[in-house]
Amino acid sequence: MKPGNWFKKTSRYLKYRLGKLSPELKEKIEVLNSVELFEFCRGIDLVEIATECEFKNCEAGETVIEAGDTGDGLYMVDTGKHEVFIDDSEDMLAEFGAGDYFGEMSLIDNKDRSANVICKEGGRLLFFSKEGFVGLLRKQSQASFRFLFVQARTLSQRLRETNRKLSEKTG
Amino acid sequence: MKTKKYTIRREAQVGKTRVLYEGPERKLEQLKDYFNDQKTSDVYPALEKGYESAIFIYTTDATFMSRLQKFCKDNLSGPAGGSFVTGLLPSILKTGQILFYLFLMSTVIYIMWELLMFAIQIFYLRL
Repeated sequence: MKPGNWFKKTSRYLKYRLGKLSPELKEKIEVLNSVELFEFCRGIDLVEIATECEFKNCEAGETVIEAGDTGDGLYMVDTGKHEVFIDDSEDMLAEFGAGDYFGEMSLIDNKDRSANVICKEGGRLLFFSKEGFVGLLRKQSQASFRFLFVQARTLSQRLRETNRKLSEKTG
Repeated sequence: MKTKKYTIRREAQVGKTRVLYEGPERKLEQLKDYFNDQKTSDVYPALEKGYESAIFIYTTDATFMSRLQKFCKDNLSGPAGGSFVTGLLPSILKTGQILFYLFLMSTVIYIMWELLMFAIQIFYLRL
């Protein structure tokens, strides 16, 4: 580890232990704490991840994610509501509120976004970029490992569910 | 006699409590069921040395902490194991720490010895 990185990490840890985190960082941690994907993260891991995240405000009617765009990160909903549509279809696939997240697959694969996410009620999103995530992985941080573990578990649960549904359909 | 096989870490800064357990995940599933009135995480394999499984509970409330401590004491403690000596030693004194303290002590003794020799030399040079 480079001395600069070591210093940053240590000062972050000391601030965390002494309760001297900035209000913005505290807000980010609160959002991360409400998201299932970070449930396996310790306090200090959340601080590490929160420093890589940024808040994004969005207005009602704004397109947050457009199908076909390159996935650049994960969005977590702090406030407001968002709807998911496939292409130009008017049928809503899902609705996201506080504590929900979308775009998590883009942290792992390089595929384009598969759906449109449109802001229904203006609010704030917390954005965890792919670059930030890869940066954490490069630093071999425990935070990224813990996050990956939960993501792998979530994906395996989804796969099992899909397999079950498929076997039910095929009889 | 029962020994403690768990650690409770209260992380008030993020409003979480972490329970680390030396035994299998199954036992922590029991804890999860018992505290079903509280928001808890899934049970995960612990990444910390000496522990097998871990769970997070989303509260640091004092009343809850005492309930949690009681539950852990009753359910996550096990019979004393290991040799007589390790049974007597507090858990903090594991091999690594023992070696470290031995190294530290020998360094201190060496420095003191050198200082003593230096003092003796000065004393005799004066004479």
